[in-house]
Amino acid sequence: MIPSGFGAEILPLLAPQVAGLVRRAVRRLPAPLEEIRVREARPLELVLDGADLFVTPDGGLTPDPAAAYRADHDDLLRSFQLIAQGSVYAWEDEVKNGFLTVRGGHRIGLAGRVVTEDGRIRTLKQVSSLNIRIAREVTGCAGTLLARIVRAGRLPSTLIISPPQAGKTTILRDLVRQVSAGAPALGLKGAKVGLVDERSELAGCAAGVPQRDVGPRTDVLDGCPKAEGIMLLIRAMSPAVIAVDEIGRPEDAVAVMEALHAGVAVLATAHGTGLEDVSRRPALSELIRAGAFARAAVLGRSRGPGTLEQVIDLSELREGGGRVAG
Amino acid sequence: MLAKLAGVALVLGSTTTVGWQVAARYANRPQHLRALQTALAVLQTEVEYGATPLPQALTAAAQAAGEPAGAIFRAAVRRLREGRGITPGEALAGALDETADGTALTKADRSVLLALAPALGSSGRSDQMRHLTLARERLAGQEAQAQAEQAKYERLARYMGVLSGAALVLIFL
Repeated sequence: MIPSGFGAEILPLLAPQVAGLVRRAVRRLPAPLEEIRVREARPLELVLDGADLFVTPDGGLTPDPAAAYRADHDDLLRSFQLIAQGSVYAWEDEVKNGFLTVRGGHRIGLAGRVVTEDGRIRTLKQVSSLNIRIAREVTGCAGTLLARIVRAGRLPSTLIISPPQAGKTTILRDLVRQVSAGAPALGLKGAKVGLVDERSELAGCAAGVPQRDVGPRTDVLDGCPKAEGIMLLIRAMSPAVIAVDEIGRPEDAVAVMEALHAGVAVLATAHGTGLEDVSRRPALSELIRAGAFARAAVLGRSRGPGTLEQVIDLSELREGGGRVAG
Repeated sequence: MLAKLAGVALVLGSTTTVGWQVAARYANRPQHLRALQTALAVLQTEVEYGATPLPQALTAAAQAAGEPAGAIFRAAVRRLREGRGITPGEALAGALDETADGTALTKADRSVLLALAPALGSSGRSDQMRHLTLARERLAGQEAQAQAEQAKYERLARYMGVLSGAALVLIFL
């Protein structure tokens, strides 16, 4: 199955040789493509929902890595240059962090030889692994979640907890879209949403303009550090709701508390398998203890990516006893 | 007699023209080398302070260089935008092949840009600075040499044109 925007957004990122093979192989995939993994001198791999296959030198698919096409140095070099639009210097911070986001909101993970300075990563030299994670837009996928967290037409602050690849970003994007547009069936009026999109993943901005549908009342701070972004939005854009992806640092916690004190609801995501798991992280446990979030939604992959496993009512949890609404 | 006179005019005219053309190459080369250095300085600023994507940065460099040196960078931008999976280095090398004959640049001058090409856009800011600075220094060296040659040979080439024509006329007359 071919994801939308594949020909225009994904294939131009790959060296012609690799792009040709992937183009042919993708047509035969049994499930939607999630990742393309290109590694120097190693088999070319396609990852789909819960499975992975290798690409043969004639563009076929095989489960056997030994029969797969192996990307060479030129493939990697060329692909990296294409991804960086021939301007690696313009992506210095992104390369340092190990990933960059391209048009369409797709995220490219990088690995290779690291150059360090005082024990910190200065840059990546010789990129030898590329992981192209294809952004999915599943309109309406947050419907169930929204219905479970909205009470009396009000949106409470919610923490979405999810392991990697369980659709956390996709769900948050759709949640933002629905909150921004309003959900009449739930008595939820459209609200001004401020979106801090540090990794350009949620809105997939190109030159500051969202490429993905994030709703009619949404303002996006693209490429902005989360904590600073939250503060800026509160000061500048008077949002009713602020959405951020992957919080977890101490300064994020301070900013989220600031938003709550300003009467802004916060929608945030965090890496983890459950409430207990995220509670072990200092910044998050502090937020949960302080009652920053009224709801926690746990995502998983038990019935495919984006499965809503559990919604926990944190306000009741705090008052004693606790009730698992799921 | 008339035919003879016409012949003399023709021989003198053509050798003089060749002499002037050779002289013009000597005169233009330092100018074109200076234009290239200006272009690279602009490119350097765009890369360092603007973190401007390469196609825009090269366009700015082309404008700064003026004609005909700017044509090299414009051709590189066109090749990059056409895509087909080529790297900036290949775009610049191809552009040089395509346009450098319209300039007075010698093979050695072009080799400076060809040496820069593989590094173009392929690394972080500080590394780009190093490569661009090095290329500018080498171009400055070429320019000094070109100026020395201009001083030595520009007028000589003109005289040689006229004089070789006159010599031919004398021989054949």
